[in-house]
Amino acid sequence: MQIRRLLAANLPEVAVSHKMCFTVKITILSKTAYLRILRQLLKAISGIVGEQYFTKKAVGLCSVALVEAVDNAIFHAHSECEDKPIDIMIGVDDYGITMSVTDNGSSFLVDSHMVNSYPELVAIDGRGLYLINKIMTKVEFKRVSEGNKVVMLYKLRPE
Amino acid sequence: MKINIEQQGDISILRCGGSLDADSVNSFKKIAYDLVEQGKVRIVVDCSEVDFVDSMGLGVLISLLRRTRSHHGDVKVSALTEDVRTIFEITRLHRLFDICADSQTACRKFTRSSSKS
Repeated sequence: MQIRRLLAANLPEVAVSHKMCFTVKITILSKTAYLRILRQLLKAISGIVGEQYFTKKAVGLCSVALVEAVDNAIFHAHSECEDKPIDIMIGVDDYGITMSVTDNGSSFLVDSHMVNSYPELVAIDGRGLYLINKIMTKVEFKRVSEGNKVVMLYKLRPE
Repeated sequence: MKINIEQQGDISILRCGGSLDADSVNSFKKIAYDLVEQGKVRIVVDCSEVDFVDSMGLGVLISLLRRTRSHHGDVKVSALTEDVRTIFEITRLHRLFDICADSQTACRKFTRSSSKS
């Protein structure tokens, strides 16, 4: 699958075999009203793949990671400019769920310190990248021609 | 997001439903901050019907906690659903907030703490 080639290095063995392989692409404007649609999309994908593979808990966790990545695009890359599009891809294969979020904004540098460091307990901001990194099996941030891209992989663990 | 306010003495219970995320955070903030401005600084946020929270939702809860504590009040969070509890634990906020099984337990804790002081 093209989307997962972005993360292909050093992935361990295939985790599940639900015999499903597909990619969904969706483009939204930079509005938080669309967050609910993205969460519904992940629930629908779980229904297609099977809840024994893409469990309710996994849907919940992937929803948080995806929403955090889109929040970053809306509030940081696009500075709440609602006309700017955000491209989202969600791919399913035997290994897991791969999600990418590409914005059209200015570069924001993400270093390992920002991703791994936990904010002060009473800090109001700064948990988005931390959550993505804690939830997902593998995460990559990159600068692409049109903006910033984050690619996130969640390894499915069947119940 | 749906928010209903109940008053039990000087304790305000915010019964929330739906998602506490970037899309709903402003409506939650307005209602909750209005309570603090009215001097109602003992607040229970009942999350029994909250199915989703993101970092911005967590941020507004922390902001509310800071505001109430600066006025000698507090925020207790009750009835977290499994998904929301998981996010609290990943972000370690279960160490910051007093998380109660239900809103009545949270109210009793408030009452007990005021009878001690």
